[in-house]
Amino acid sequence: MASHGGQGASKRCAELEEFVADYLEGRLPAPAQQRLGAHVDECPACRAFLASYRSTVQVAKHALRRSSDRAEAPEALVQAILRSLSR
Amino acid sequence: MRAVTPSARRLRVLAPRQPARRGCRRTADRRAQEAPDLRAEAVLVGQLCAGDRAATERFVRTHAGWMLALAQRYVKDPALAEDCVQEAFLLAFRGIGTFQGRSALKSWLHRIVVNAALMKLRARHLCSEQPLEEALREGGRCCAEAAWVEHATPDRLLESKEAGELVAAKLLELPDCYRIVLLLRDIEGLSTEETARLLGTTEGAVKVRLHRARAAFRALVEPVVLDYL
Repeated sequence: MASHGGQGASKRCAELEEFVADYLEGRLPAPAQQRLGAHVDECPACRAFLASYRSTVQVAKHALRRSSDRAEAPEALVQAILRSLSR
Repeated sequence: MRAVTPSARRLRVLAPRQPARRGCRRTADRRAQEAPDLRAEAVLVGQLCAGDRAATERFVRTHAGWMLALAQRYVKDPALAEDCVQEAFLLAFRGIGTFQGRSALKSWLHRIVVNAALMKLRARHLCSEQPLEEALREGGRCCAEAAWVEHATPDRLLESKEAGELVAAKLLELPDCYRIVLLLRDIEGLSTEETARLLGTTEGAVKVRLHRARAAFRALVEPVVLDYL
């Protein structure tokens, strides 16, 4: 964890890590949101952390969309569905 | 035949908002290609309501594959996923007469499948709290962060078919309660409140599980990222 700014920066880094989901969605109280925003502007490690956090979501969405696009249902399932629909 | 429950009726899947990008012709072209032909869908719905067998078979064959992949993300077990898909088609056909075309047919089916999967999970109590493995619990800051940021935009990372499949498989390694929250919040785009309501838990619990799920997923995917940079 980055600690280039001494104890204060480390404390902010830890605070960002704990509240990262709320921070990214802007759901923290305004003073905390601003405090962490200012820290992110000054902390390369936290900027990288946030970017990778956001990328995780993008990577998951992309991978799932592509795997769904290629998916095929077994013929036995298709036939079972058609039988159940024809009843 | 099972009735659609109140919780099923409440399920709403909100498509994640895409920021407007000026001049991004590639994005606009892709969206145009992916946008459903609403007139063709209206014709298809009419055929399905009329019991057209050929249309029914085309419909099932068109959608069963991605519906199965979607269900399996939630329930993992292939046999259970097939049950979900079969149930989803039954529900869809029961409700096809009420489909008004306010959303694309695929979006409507998507919601039905997700709801069918969640009901299966609830029936089997598969959404209760589970421990994360030690290695995944420590995934607050991953080692490859700088490299991830510099190199791993989704397209670059996942232009490899194998990498995409590995990443999708890593999601299934998450314990159910974390995977489900990640899917509902980040993939389906539901709010914390909606997710909590669907799972019968508190918003606080959803936030904690989501944070742990994302951290654990990043830890799981990190080796794939490093291999494919």
